[in-house]
Amino acid sequence: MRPNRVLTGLFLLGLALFVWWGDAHLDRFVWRILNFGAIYALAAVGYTVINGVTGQFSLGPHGFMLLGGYLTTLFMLPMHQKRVVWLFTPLSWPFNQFTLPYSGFILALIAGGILAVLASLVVGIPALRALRGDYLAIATFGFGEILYVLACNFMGLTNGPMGIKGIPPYTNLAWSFGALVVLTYAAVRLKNSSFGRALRAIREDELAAESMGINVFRHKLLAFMFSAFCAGVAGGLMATLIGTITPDLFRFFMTFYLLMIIVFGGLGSISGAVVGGFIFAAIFEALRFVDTAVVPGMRMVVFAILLILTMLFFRRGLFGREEFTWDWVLRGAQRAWRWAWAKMS
Amino acid sequence: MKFRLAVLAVAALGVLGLAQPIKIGCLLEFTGGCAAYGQMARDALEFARAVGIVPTEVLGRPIELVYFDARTEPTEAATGATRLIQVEKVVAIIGTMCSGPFLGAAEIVQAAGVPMIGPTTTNPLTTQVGDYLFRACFTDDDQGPVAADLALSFFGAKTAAVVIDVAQAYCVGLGKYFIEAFEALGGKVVATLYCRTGDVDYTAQLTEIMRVNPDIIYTPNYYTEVALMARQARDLGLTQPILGADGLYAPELIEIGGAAVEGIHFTTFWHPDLATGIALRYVEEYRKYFGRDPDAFGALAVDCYLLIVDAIQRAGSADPKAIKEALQTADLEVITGRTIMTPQGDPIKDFVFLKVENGQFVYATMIPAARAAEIKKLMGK
Repeated sequence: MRPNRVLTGLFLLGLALFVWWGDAHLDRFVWRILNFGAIYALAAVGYTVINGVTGQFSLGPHGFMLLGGYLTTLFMLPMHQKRVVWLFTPLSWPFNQFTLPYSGFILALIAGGILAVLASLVVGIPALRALRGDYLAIATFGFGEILYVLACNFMGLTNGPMGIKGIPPYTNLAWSFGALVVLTYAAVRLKNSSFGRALRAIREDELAAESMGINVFRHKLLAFMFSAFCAGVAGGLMATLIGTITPDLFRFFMTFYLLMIIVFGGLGSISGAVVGGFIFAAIFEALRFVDTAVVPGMRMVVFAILLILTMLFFRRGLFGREEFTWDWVLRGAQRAWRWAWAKMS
Repeated sequence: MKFRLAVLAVAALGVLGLAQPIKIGCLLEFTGGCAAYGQMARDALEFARAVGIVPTEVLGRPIELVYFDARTEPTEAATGATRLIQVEKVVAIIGTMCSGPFLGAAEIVQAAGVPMIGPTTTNPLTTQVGDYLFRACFTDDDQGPVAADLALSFFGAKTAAVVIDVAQAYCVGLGKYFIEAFEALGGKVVATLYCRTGDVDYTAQLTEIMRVNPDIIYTPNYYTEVALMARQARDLGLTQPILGADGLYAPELIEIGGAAVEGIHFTTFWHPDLATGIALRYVEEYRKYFGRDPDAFGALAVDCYLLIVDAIQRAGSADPKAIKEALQTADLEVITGRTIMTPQGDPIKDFVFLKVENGQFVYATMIPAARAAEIKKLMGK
């Protein structure tokens, strides 16, 4: 057995233990930030596969999150809430007929992901075939806006801008970290496979990739579908974490945040997306003291300045295009050990 | 001498020990879409405390306000509320101004058992989450029907057209309840039209209104949209009275609308000229302090503060559960008038009907809370 595998296994075991302990004992405030971190990281992992690895500038993940969030909500919302929440237009068939128990949560999340994938086909097939670069960004951005307007108007499903309350708060560290680990694993396998190498070839030069025999459209579409699935699941987890959903929860700012996460983490780096997600969730709370000390709202200015500084001095983000590896950790540990040894003797 | 000093020292220590501040969280929007309202609320709270209109201590302990930015996002409101409760150990929360973020925090404060009052959260769902959730404003299902009643009795209208901003829960709620009440009370809604926040062209909706020619136009949207729509309506030659809701109560309505908004009527909960008692002092001091008329958002935030302080006083304790129970039976003269809280967390208040006249907001008539309850009964609720 290779040492890397052992280390990964130990790490996952440690993570599982931490999650198991954390769900029961962790301070609720830290618990919530870790949950948000995992959800942002999950959406960012999917986003970096299409934006970073494949180099296709999509601006659509908030739309996919919205779809996943609403579908998961409609599956999981208890019947008594389904009866009281829809004040004006009653809830449409078939969702007014049933609700899933806790054991169906995983199905609801996957269904949310699949709905997002279907939507990604609707926008992806025409857009990825014909459009490149900025045009793809505009098409996906428009798609997200359309979904927002639909969510406001399809009151029989979404209750419009009133939103839905009373979603059972099923999301905990086990679910959010579980989904993150599984989909990150899938993303890493994807990136390191021949499929992933094809994606990177497309990023570097589409024409060259095509002339090497890569089916550019098919590869781009599959990467886009994977990204939509991650976003859909993340949306479902988000809604069941905060217990409420409104169309405003998934407006363009969500995509904007995810973009910040993956650029900060290093465009195209999956490790960067994961680490970036957690840093993003924690940084607003870390900056909360600015609000209390100066003027409320000031931390957003500080946050913006931090982003500008990152872009000026750290242009490739935290990880660049590299990934986290155990070799890198081991080499670092070895170097630190040698340095300490030399100091001591 | 030594003995006296010792007694003083002991007394000082005792006071210091006892006088732990009572912390009240202010989860307000300082950034994002509702930033203006959060800022108005903070200005008003700080001013009212500085000038001494509201008490700054209760049960012999100073009151400390902890301001957190809710960023107008449900996710951020959720984290902010958790931190206020877990880390800052607040006994009650004022905020948020908008209903979306409020819903984000609602499940959390309910589970933690800390009362939260939204100054301007009009979405009916917000207080239905649980018994720890309150509001200081009235709900859409009070205000919409009252407007319908006024359309029928005050204007003698038989038919109405409604233009609803579908991007705002507040406007959708008001519009739907208006339609329900207007038809239940014998009127007929001849056109229900929609727009979205940020729209600048209302020709399509107005042409349709010209075609159906209603007696009155009800448009429960925010001031920018209504001001623009009113201008275009008057340009097109529509002369019907326009009726709105408290989202119009901002000087920007007149700045943007100019002569076109003359004669617009709307329902709201107060007018500075009607103020008596504490409200009168508030209005006078506010004008002196800021050099402008007080706004409703700030006044309602101060109301929340007064309601919480009153609840702590009556409960005789700063325990969140005791505060919640006292809040449910509150009956208090606050800035925006007498407020009677119901156990559901929705207050009963009188309505005021204002109109725009010569570029000023002028008092038109008053609708007592009892009439609002009567209309609800007529609607079979």
